[in-house]
Amino acid sequence: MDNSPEEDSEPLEIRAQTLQGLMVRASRDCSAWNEQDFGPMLTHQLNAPLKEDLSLVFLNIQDTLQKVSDLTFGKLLQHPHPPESALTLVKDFAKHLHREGEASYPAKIATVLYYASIAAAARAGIKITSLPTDKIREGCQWALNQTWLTPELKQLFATALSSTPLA
Amino acid sequence: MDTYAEIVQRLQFATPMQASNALTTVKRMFERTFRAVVQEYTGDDRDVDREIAELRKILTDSSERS
Repeated sequence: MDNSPEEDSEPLEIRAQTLQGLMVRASRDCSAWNEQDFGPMLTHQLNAPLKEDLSLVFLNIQDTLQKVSDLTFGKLLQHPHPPESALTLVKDFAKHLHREGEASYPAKIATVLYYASIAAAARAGIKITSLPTDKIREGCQWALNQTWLTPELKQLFATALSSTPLA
Repeated sequence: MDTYAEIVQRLQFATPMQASNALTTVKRMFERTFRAVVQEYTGDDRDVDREIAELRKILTDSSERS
């Protein structure tokens, strides 16, 4: 009687390819996600409640979270009068994600989130960064060039780039 | 290979950070387990890296031929 596991019937070269794929994907220098995943990841991030992620990264932020308890990242970035403290937290959250060398969060999405918080603040007349204007413009232009951006963020960056002064 | 959207739907991650942290954990677990298995037949921790490099070369050659 053949009681070998079902996967043993898989051709050897297929199993070799699977194992090779796992070895490559598990290596530290391999990007965890494909660029085609960035659009869905960004949308997922924007639809996530602020408190879901921010409370895992920062301590003692209950006062700020109370002000934005029902907001998602996306809604905060589109808010006509966003709380400065919340935008600053989003900016610092993006920096945290970018710094985490070993984590699998795509640095490009973290960078988009970083400049989006600065652009949203600038639109509301708030300054949350000490970056010089030319660097902010450079970052917003880079973000605007990403093909996987949502229409709302495209609009945000386009508005920021057409504004003078930016921040 | 599954897309991000498929993985999130199946495993119900609330945010990309949660999905990314889980992936990092899985990568570490795979690396640890794989090294342990290789060490079982090399018998010496110092040979593990060389053995893995050789295995990777064999698998790469095999994939290129098929």
